[in-house]
Order: sequence, then structure tokens, then C-alpha cells
Amino acid sequence: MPSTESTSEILVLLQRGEGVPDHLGTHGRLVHSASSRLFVLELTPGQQLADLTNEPAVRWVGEDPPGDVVEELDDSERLFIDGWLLRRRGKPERPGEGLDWDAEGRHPPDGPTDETR
Amino acid sequence: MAGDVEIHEELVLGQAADENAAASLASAAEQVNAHVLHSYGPRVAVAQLDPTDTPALAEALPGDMTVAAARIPKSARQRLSESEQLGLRAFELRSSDEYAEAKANRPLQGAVWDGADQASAPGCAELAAAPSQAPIDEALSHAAIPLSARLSGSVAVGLVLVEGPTAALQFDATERAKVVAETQNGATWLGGRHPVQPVTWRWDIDVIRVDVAADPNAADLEALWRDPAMAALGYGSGLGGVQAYAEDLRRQLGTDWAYVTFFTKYPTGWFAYASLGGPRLVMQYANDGWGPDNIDRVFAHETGHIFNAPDEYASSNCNCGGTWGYYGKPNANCANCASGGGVSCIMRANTWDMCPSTPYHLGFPICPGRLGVQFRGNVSASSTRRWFTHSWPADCHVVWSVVPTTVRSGAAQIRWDVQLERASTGYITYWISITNLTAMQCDIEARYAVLGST
Repeated sequence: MPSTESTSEILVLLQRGEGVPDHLGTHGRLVHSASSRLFVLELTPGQQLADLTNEPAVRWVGEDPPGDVVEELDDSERLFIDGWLLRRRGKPERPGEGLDWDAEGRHPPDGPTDETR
Repeated sequence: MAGDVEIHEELVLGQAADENAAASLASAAEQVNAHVLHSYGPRVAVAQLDPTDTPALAEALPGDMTVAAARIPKSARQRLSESEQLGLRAFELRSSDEYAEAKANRPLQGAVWDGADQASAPGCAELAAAPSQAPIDEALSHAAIPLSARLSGSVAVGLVLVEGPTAALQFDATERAKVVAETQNGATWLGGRHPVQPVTWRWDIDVIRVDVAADPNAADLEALWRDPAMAALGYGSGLGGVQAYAEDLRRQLGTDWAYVTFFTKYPTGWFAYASLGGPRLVMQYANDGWGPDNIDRVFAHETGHIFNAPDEYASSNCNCGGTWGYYGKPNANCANCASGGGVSCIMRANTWDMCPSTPYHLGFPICPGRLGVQFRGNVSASSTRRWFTHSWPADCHVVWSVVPTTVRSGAAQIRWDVQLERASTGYITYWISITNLTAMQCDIEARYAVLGST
């Protein structure tokens, strides 16, 4: 599960050369796109993976793409998937959880001369 | 049609930097009554032809040339020379809807050059005396369409990992994936705060290795690695080049907004910073004492700045005034002056909280009109019962009504009364008292109508 919140996000890879089907939105909400054919979709409640798998324009849908699918991807798409898989592992307890950005012993983001005051 | 010139043009792309390419193209064009209007090197040309002849031109072209598709793959783009890329980008710009719209609304459309009541045309003397071209950074202030006015709809992010020639300046595969995972996470959270339609993020990811030695004493620490990286992507130096990249991303990916995120291990002036209102944010992979596991939070914080949200932590010397963000609201959660010290917020702390002020700054719709049932319950015979409902944004105009759901005809069944509590600067609590006027228990539902914001 992606670590921000419990969602039903899945990866969707379209067939090469296929445009995004007009009705893709009925399956879920587009959260991220890594290219013209690789997406993260948040499934609409009640929608199943099989509903998407049966779409002619869809090459593959799921959470962890198999090797033959990965081999089709370009470098950016592979990197996006690596990030997706890493994100799904969750993370250990964060350093400084809940601390103000300028808590003692820490530097806040944004330098002293920034214009974000 | 590209731009607002009433002729049909097609972009022709070649594979090889062949010196005979121009002649080959001209010959093919001639066969289908086409005409080569522009060439930007051996691999990029623009041809004029009748739209119905496009398939014939494609057929007539030599094997290593094609009539280009709507979007040129990055791999093909990177093979081009600087001038070829400029020609390509110019054609794409001219083919865009925004360009066509701008052309349709030209300033002084139809005015004669010497019109007495219009802006003067520059005469030769004026041209000679015209100021030199503004520095690229200065030119940013003249951008016509903001790249990040509010966080809504869809956002293109150019994610650029900039590496150097030594191992210390490079990311390993795990670190690269970590950057993608963390930014994906931070964006998902931030965009998910949108109360109506969570934001869609469209990524353009590049890993660029530049051949520049690290120099902690460089006069401009960012430009040292950023400018060569932007050159590798086909863009100019300075923030003007970054802005041009963001604008191209917005156009190519069809998004509402765009900005560029750089990650690097080169020395930077600070471990994380951003331009208020875009076009770029910069982060060190190490993320100072917060560490890579907090890249998502710092990225979300910096993206807040891209969309005009101010800092709220005390040492930023913030104050509770000002006009910030899309609605021009004050920085009411500033730790130095907020009532009760303020509340937890991504713009203040390492947290997944968002205070009541930041949605205003980001431009979220604060009170989208909507109807709903807040609660259902029952009231015993001839008695009064009170409910409360909290954390309603103070700027929202909310109307309450209570209706019986128990059917009983012949007389009124209930009456209700709404009282208000300003629980904090940003929030209202509604206290709703419901009296059952009958001698039987009555089921009720409390309905709200959000009319908008004040």
C-alpha cells in the first residue's frame, strides 16, 4: 500500500501506440502519469483489476510488473516503477517526526535569504 | 495549421545528420507539390502542403525521414542538435492551442503602424535606442501565463536528477528510485488535500550527468550544474531556461500547471529551496538532518512554495499578515503570532497535517457549494436534544435545516435552533438543538447547504 494513505492505487500500462481510452475515468482517478502509456490509477470503489485487464488498450495492469513488461519500458518508465515499488514498501519511523522545521538542532528547508516568509 | 498563418505545415524529422538530406527532402516534396519552408539542420524541416497530401509525402520521403507524430519521443529529441531542437520547439509552440489563442488576441490587432491613438511603431531611431534584451531572470516577470497560480487540476513536474563526473556526485539505482518514490509520495499527499478533485501529477523524469567538477566556492552554486543540465535537455541558461522547460512540459503534457524539480549531490546554497510561484525547486538528496526518508515531506513543503504558500515556522521570521497565494490571504498560522501558537502544518513542521490557512494559499476551493446530511438521530417525545459539529472552515457560508424522517401528519413535529462557536481563527463549531413537539419519539436528519465562501 502506498505509504501516504490507504488507497487502491494500481499501475496501468497501455498497449504501445494506444491513446488513453475516453472511459478510463470510469475505472478510477488518474493520480500520476510517467509517460503516455504508464499511469497510476486510484480505482473507483467497486472496480476490479479484471475490469481494466479486459480493456483492449491495456497491455498490463497490477501492482508489480513482470519481467517481460518491464523489458518493454524506457529508462524513465522503469525508474518510475522502481520508485513505485519502493514507495509501496512503506518506510521506517521518520527522523524528526512532527518537529517544527526549525526545531533545535535542525535546519529548516529554505535558506535564510529565501522569499518564502 | 501552425500559429495563425493560413497554410498547412508538417514537421519532417530525419534520422541521420546527412549533408544530402536537404536535397532528398526537396526532391520528395516536389513529387507531391509540397514545399520546404524551413530547415533547422539536416534532421528537422517544415514543409508546406495540402493536408490531403500528407500521406503521399510520408510515402515519398526517404526511409530515414518521417512526417512527425504529434509528440516527439524524448529519445528522438535528444539526438538533435541545438538548432534542430530550437526549430522543433518553435514548430511545436506554433502548433499549440495557447499560441493560436494568443495570436487570435494580438494586441493592437489591425492597428495601423502610425495610428495616432495607438501605441507607436518603433521608428529606426527608436530601434537604435531600444534597451538591450532583458536578462533572462528579469524576463521571468513578464511571463504571460503563470506556471503555478494554484494547486488544482493537473500538474507537470520535470524531475531532473543532476549527477556529476565523480562517484560522490552520482546517484546509485536505489537512490534514484528513492527520489522518485519520495516525490511521488509527497505529491500524492499534497494533491490529495484538494477538497473536490485531487490533483493529477504528470512526470517527466530525466537523469542528467554533467561534466562539471564540484566547486563549493562557485559564485552561483546552482548555475554551476543546473545550466549544463538544462543545456543537455535542450534549454538555455538561467532560470529563463528552466521556465522554458516548464512551459514546454505544460504544453506537451497538456497540464494546467508545471514546475521543475532538481535533485543533486552538488553543493548548493541550502539543502532545499524553491522559487515562490515557481518555476523550480532544488533539493539535496541527503536532505540535511531530515534525511532521505523525509524527502517527501520537504518536497511537499517546497511544492507549497511553488504554489505560493509561505513558511510558517518561527525562525522564518514570518508574521501573521501579508497577502499570500491565490486568494491573497494572510499567513495566519505563522508560529510567531498565531492564536495559541498555531497548529501543525506542512508549511511549519515535518508532518502530514495542513492548517486552515494553507489551502487558501494553495488556491484550493475552500467552500465548494454542496448539499449533504451531517447526521441522523432521534429525539424523545416532548424533549430537546443538542448535537455539535466541528471544524467547519470559518469562511464557508453554511445553512442548516433539520427535518423529521418519522412520518406523522397533522401537526408540526420538530423545531430547531442553531448556535455558533468560533472554536479557532479558522474554524466554526455549530451547535444544533432539536426539540420534539410531539408525544412520540421522532427520527430526524440534519442537512447542510454550503453556499460558498465569504
